[in-house]
Amino acid sequence: MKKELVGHSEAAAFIIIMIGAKAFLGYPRIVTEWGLTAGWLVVLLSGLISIVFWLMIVGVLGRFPGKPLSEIAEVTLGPVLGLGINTFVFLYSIFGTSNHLRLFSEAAILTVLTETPVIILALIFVLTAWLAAYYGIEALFRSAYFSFPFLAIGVALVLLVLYPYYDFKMLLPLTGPGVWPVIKSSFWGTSAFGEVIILAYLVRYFSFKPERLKNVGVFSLSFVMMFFIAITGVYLMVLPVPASSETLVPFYQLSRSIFLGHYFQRVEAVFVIFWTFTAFISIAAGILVGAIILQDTFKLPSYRPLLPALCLLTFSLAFTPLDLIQTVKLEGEVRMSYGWIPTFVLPLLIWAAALILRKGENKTNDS
Amino acid sequence: MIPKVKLLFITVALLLLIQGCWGARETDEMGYILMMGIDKGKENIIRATFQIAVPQPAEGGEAKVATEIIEVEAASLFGAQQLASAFISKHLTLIHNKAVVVSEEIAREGLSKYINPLVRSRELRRTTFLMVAKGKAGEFIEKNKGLIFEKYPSRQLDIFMASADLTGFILKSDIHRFYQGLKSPGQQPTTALVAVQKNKEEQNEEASSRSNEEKTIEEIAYLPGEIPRKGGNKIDLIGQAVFKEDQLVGFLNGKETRYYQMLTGEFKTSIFSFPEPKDPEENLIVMEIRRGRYPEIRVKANGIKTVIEVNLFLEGETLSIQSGKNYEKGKLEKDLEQYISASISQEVTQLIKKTQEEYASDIFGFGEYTRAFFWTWQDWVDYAWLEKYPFCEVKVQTFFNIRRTGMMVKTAPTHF
Repeated sequence: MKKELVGHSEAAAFIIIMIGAKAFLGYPRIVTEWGLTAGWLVVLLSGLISIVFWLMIVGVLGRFPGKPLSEIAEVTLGPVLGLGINTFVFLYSIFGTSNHLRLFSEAAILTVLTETPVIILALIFVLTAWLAAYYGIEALFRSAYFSFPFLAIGVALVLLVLYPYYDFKMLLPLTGPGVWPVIKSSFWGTSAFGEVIILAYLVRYFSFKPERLKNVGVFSLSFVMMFFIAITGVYLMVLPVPASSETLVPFYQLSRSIFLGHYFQRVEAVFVIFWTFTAFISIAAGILVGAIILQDTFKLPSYRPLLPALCLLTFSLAFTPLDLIQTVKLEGEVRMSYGWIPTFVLPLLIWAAALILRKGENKTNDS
Repeated sequence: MIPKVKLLFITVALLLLIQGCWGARETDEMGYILMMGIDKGKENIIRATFQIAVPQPAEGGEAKVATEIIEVEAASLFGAQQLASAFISKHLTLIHNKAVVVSEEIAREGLSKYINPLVRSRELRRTTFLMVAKGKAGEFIEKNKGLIFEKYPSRQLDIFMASADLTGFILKSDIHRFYQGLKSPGQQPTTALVAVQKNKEEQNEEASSRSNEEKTIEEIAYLPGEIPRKGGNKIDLIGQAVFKEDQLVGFLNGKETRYYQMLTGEFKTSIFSFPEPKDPEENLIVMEIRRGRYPEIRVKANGIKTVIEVNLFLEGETLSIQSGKNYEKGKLEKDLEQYISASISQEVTQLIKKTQEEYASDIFGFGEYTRAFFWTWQDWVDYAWLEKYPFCEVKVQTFFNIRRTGMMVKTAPTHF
């Protein structure tokens, strides 16, 4: 089978879409709940902290050139602990994907397909994800690359045409709940940028030199951070605190608020297309990444046979929460609050272990 | 493997096609509500009035009426919408609803419980116009049925609200803006005010006994329903409703609404009549005034007092000088600019005082400027601006310049 390879532009676009998909769900609401009027500051600080974390993770990858993080974990911590860590990361990935699957399906019900059963919507998402994942990493990364400019322009356009609502006073008081709560939330907030770690698990699939991985990660994080800041800032100005904490799907609400006279209103239908496309890519990517982690962990020759089982698992997990509010709670109170543990803390632990146990030094020298 | 993939692809494609089938509604099954009114009910809690678009016949030609108005009593808005299906062969939907009109009685009682379902609704947008009707909301919708210039009230309201930029006495108010005022610790809500035109006999008798100077100053100082007029639609949109928290506490007339919009920066342009400074009973000066710059607002506070400082920047074009005096240049021009500046400052100050003393409600959002005093949200909330507002000192300064004088540079002497 032909080796699948992707370039740095595709990788950056993919990571931006993976991280950015949250903006179409509850992310703006969650950060404004944490940071109140300083929600945008929480995003800025978490973005910067994530960049620092990423640079440290790149340090780990540098010690083991060409090896994915799943393999590094086993080399550094031994097969048992490595297997444990990889399984944990895999479970987190599937949990995150299933939660997104449920949230996107529920959001579709709330907004456009109000009568369609949630199970049908989730089924369509998951079957499409299966198909996309089956076609492989190259197809998925290229889809992300081609759709990226449309998504970026679409989001920027929504934010721009909301200019009649802009009121910068709504971003004050500057520190929201206070300096310490903002700093604390910013650490939790790094969970939102955790998808950058996917790069570390997919190093084998990149056609560019491993040294460029650092730049791809930094660029993706910086880009998406700027977009998140803009979205949160506009959200705070259009739906100021405390109303900002009420909205279920903030970006959709923003797009519904566009009113530039009789002939430019009700434009959210256009936005829904971008939104659904992001959902498809995000869910497919989640399943694919989970499959690749499993493949690497269990040294399987191909990830494709795992896809049906993973789709079923994602689908089943998506319906574990009893209702929408429970799913929203899981996203806000579990995934967004503790997601930094599997995405940043574990790789940093591997890095610390590699330093202490002096693993990977020879290879670094060799390289 | 390939046929299997193709099969999967076809299955997914087919599924994509059917997902909308659950919510499928034929267009002729739908009843599009264009305007909704909320009144107190007699037999149930509320009386909802729905103005529904009547579709054009599929076989061609014009429908006899453009809209149909129905009233239903129920416990809730959505309950009323559902109950209407008992006698309307359409699935009523609010997706094209343009305005929600609330009766004065309901507004005085408190709007919170009626706003909540509107904000939560999937169908209604927050950009839906929200207006308070002096009197009954249902009556307002009913009287507005026979439109003169437009076919549907949705377009009529769009044009009315757009004309707010040209007159200043209509407030562009929507659910979003009201909700923001309701939730923020730095401002209070306000909405547009509407009413049905009163009968001639009901017109204000006192008005005719006023001096010409008063008549000039009060040229647009009307509440809806009170404009001395004939013809046109049977409804008026002028002035605004003032709320304290969620309860209606009073009204501002057209003149006050114009000054309100100057303070909030929404004012764009409007025609003002001023009594001639030296001869107020006989002559007047008409000026088209537009916003020069956004107003500068500062709130200064020390331990003893809080001062609201407002600087307004306006520009004018002379439309009429009845006396024929040459106010176009020199000292007279400066005198006129100062006179108009002083008049506007005085009116604006009076308006702010009115909201402080009569209504104790900061509808201007001056409190939002105090956000900058604090580092944390809780400190700002604890500052309790809305309690302080009635006791603030107010300083208003207007910077007015005449930029143009119409098609004349001066008035030549007239020889009778």
